[in-house]
Amino acid sequence: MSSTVLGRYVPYQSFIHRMDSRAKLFAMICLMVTVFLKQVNWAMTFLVGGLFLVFIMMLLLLSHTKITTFLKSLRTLWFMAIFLLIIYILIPRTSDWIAFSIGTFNVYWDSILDAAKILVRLMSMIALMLVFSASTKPLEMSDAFEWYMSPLKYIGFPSHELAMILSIALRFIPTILEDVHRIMNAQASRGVDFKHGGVKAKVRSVISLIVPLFVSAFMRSEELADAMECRGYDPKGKRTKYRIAHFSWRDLVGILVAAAWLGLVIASSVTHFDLFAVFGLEVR
Amino acid sequence: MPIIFKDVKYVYGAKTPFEYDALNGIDLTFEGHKLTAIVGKTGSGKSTLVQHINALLRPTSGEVLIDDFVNGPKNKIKAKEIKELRKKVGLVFQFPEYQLFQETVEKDVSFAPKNFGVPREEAIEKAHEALQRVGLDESFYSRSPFELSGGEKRKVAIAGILAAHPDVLILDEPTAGLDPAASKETMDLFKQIHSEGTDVFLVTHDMNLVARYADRVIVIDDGRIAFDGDPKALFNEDLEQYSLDNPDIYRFAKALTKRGLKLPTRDLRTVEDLAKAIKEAKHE
Repeated sequence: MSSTVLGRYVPYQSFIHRMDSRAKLFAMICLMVTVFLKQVNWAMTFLVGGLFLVFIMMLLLLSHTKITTFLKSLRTLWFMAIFLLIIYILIPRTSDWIAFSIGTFNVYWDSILDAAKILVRLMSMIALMLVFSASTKPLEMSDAFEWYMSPLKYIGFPSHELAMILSIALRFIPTILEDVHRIMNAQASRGVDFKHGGVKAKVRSVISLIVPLFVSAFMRSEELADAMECRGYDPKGKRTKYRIAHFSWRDLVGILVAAAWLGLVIASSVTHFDLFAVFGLEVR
Repeated sequence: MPIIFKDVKYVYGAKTPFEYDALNGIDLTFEGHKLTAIVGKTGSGKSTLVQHINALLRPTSGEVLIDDFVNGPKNKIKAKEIKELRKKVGLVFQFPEYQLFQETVEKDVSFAPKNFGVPREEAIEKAHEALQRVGLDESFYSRSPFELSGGEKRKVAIAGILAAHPDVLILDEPTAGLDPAASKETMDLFKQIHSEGTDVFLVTHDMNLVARYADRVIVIDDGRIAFDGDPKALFNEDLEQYSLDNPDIYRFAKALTKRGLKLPTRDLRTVEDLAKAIKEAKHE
């Protein structure tokens, strides 16, 4: 009964929710690839990146995920942004596009834009993951992974076992979070302050959380293993499925949209397409 | 210590599909020195209620006054004040053995007083004292809490709260999972602590404990107060409407009355009380 967790599955009946998880995963990967493709210049990079962000925001709306949830997940990104900026500024460059100079040290626009580019990529990735995890049941997720890994079975790859491990791990995330919540409450009642205090106090408070958490996680895993063995679980056994996923028009639409976007971005990347040049604009 | 609930509401996961009203307008006043039992079926909101007393939860609306501490929805509370409150209000969670984490029993029990600013030496003294109270002798001091039996772990965890000498002691299902002897031993200890001047709250759904130990009983049903008063008065009501059972001795007495034995109306707390009542009835 803990408060809602970021990226947790939210039960709705949206288009994205009702897509087959395998098709969804494929579409997701297509979209992810586009994030990392290089465009001919800065203006195009940010045009494509910006369009993509708008597109994902539409996906978020479509999957009933609140934009505020996404914004909340960005809060931790601030630190990352500043860190990236510093790193990129410190990297030596040979460019004539100087933003400003501190003494003899030049800060280039390229550094700042590089950091911004990475930030846009990260934001896109986070939003995409959010759409996927909020609209796909953990069980469906692991089913999809198993399906994609199944060809590897023929070379002796334990794809079922891996999928099982994955689905158990996913299944236990909320349980472990509940444990975290419970242990934090118990330790807070014993005077532990998880929010304030210096580094030393923080380390102490985290230890008071981690140790009991490990104890209960190990206990749970042992109990689960016993329970599975009692029911005759055999990883090598052939099994049937209760839920059989069907390929529907939704999946076709989803894959086509994602593939179309991927195709467009690849084409523009390969041909060094510059939309601004088409309109006769000179950009960097 | 006076504790006042003023129209307290608490909502889990507000504005999400998981929204759930745990408390629905609770008005309560605790003043006298009574051992108060808070009962209700699973999910009725009894644990949520008591977590407001040491400010682990902040009400969604309304406020809780604990002595001169105000736990309201939005008022700023300093970390120091919260610590001060948690020193006064000790909370023993369900299955408290999950909070153990130190390498020795002595260290674990002295953890709470140390957090509340008691000097090391004194904290260890308090730990020894608390361990004596729960019936663990010196041989346990330097043992690891993880090598103890379940019952002993529970005792160590309870000692870990008692060592801080709280003015108010809240017990959430303290006997769950204990054998009958250990359960009686534990409850007798709490009764003893109560008679020494500590306010004790007992959260439970074991009505036998309520019959035996409570001076006042509050029934929570669906986040509302369904009954507040004398345990004896409650046992004459139909308890099934709250998904609760009558205590064994009351069920036995009722069965006897049904078969024609006229039992004198008196306060039944223990089996001995019932035996006396039957004896009297037979002699008449």
